[in-house]
Amino acid sequence: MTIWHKLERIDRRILFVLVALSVIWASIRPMGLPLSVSPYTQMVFDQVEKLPKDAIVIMSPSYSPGSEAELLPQTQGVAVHAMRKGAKMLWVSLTADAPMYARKVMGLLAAEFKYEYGKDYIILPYKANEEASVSALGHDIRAMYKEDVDGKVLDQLPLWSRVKTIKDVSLVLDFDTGTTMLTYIRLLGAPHGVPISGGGTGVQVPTRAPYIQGGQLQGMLGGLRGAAEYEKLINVPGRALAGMDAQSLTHAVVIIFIILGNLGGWMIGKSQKGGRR
Amino acid sequence: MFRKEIPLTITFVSGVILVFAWLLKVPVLKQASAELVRWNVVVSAFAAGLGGANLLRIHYKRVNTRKETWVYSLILLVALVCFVTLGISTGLNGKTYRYVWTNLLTPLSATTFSLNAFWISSAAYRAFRIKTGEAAALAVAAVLVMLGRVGIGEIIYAKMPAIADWIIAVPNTAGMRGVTIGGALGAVSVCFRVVLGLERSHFGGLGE
Amino acid sequence: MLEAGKLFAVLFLGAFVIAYWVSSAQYKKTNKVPFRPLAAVEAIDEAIGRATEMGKTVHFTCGRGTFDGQTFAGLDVLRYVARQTALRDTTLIVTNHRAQVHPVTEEIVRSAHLEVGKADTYKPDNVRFISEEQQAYVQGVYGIFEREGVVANIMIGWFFAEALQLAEVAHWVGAVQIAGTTDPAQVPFLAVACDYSLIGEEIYAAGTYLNPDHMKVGTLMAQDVCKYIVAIVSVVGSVLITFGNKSVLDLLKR
Repeated sequence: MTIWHKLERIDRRILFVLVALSVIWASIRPMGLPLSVSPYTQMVFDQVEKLPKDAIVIMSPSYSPGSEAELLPQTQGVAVHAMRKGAKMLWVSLTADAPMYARKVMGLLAAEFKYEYGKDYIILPYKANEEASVSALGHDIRAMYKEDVDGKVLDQLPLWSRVKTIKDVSLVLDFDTGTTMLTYIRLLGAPHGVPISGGGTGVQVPTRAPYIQGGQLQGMLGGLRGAAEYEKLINVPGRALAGMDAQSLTHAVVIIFIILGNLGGWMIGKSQKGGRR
Repeated sequence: MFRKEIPLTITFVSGVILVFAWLLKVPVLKQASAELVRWNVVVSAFAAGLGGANLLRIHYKRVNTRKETWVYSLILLVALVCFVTLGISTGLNGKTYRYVWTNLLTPLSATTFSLNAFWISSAAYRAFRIKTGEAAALAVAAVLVMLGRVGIGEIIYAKMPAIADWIIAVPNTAGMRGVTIGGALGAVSVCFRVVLGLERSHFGGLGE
Repeated sequence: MLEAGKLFAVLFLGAFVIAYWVSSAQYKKTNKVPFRPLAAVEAIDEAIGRATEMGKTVHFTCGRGTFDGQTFAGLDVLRYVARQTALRDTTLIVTNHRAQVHPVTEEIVRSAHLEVGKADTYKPDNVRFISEEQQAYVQGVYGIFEREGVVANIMIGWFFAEALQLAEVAHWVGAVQIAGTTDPAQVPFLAVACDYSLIGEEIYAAGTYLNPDHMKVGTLMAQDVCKYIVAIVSVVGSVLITFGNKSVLDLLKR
């Protein structure tokens, strides 16, 4: 077996080890690589930036623990920005894990921004079936929710008295790994004119691009990079910025292997043609 | 008797109400549609219980008959019962429940999800072989987008992120629109068949 | 009477219904399926044949949907696969990600065995609900791939990230793979990781190829007609609006 055959068929375990090592190396030795801000991230930033004081926003963390590494930094970054603008938050739970993430984020940030539960933010309970829940949000949000996630009567919370219909919400910020963002666009954005924005995994950015270009979605944070860009914009370096070096090295390893695989294949093809001649 | 007629009738009536409520300005239809949507929430919640009951049945049978890998079924049953009991007794806000969720479920999910990094690496190495023009376009676009999304790409060429953004915003979006429209039309045709009772594959043998 | 912005939808649905009637009547007359062949659909028989010869297992999954269009497309293909594996006495394992879909897949596989007169070979344990939790489902299926000698993996339906995970592990164990989905985010992963893929609405055509009848052929033809309408409206509308004419846009908003 020649070197070219070996390159064309590298044992994938070598690739796995190098990918793992690149992540570990970048975590130990951060490189501080440059990071520009993409237009879609800037759009999300601008939406939050133009919120008037005391605006009501819906925060909707629609992800599960598997995607927490990418989406929790996004949620935190946007929450920090919204709280700097004095926005009031309704945390809507379309997945079973959502209340946990709402508590996690507010647990980290509420004290810093002196946010009081019931006055500045409310965590709403989980409702199964996102289609039905979002539709009900649009039709009659007060009929949909009577109690908060802890069973407290919502009518006793000062912030809830400001929420009469969905039109009282200035912006919906959804962080999803599935279809909740599209459901919000279809059932809140289109019929009720509520601006929709937020974030998702990196692979979702291409699928959401048509909606952004059509004006139905006001930008989107894409994966860990989107979170890192947002941390840069709000000047709060966190996990996402720290993780970008690992992502860079890993991509470099994969690209090198792709080149080596093609080089091996090309050289084998060339030598076979030469042999036939 | 009526094992397929009743579900077909329910499907037809519900489907017609929902479609016409969306199309027409008829208040009674809109109310009926909203009510059906609310019932759907309840039915979906029961379906989650159905899944749990199913798991209990299957794995209990495995443990009982000592099928191979019955030990894993036993672990599953114990974990299922413990977690459900914990959730019901302490509620989703309970300290122990949240501790288990944060320190067991979250790291387990994140770990297995992170295997994707290895799988995509090996899939990319395997699949991006330039043997035809289309394969070349695929590989080149993939490499440019990969470089454009990370800092190393910006060091190689400052405009790399802009190139990646253009690939995503223009040719990729065009393709995505086509796939999305096609998929949506397919969903329309399936819904048309299901609502009118023409599609019966979900009945299995009863549908014949 | 009509809601604002829904006139085009009504006209579109009307066109769909007319196209369906005409096409299904045409199929009843000629009995010919007027579509180009799909390599992935033809590979399904080869994959089942491979499993039969090797005495190993076929794995099937409809993904994470609960009776959306893609799940129905998957169930349609499952009917065919279940029938073929029952006929050839090949082991078929169906894994379900959703509890609601589980009884339906059970019924489909059971009925397939009954249809071919092999009720005694039906094993209810081979239709398995794994978990609603994504990663738990993936790990469960990994175990099946490793332990149960899967040499053919068929995945038709709605998938998220589990698509790539399942495809790579199936490749690792040497299984031939046929997969399809309409989710634009997962189509590239399946196209890259699987031997044969059905892109987008080809999954709806797959069921029609395998279990043709006038109703499916009719709706598939109607889909094609509607695609032409969408394409014409898009092109004409884009050209007109470039020159400042908003008539198509106004029609869509009416």
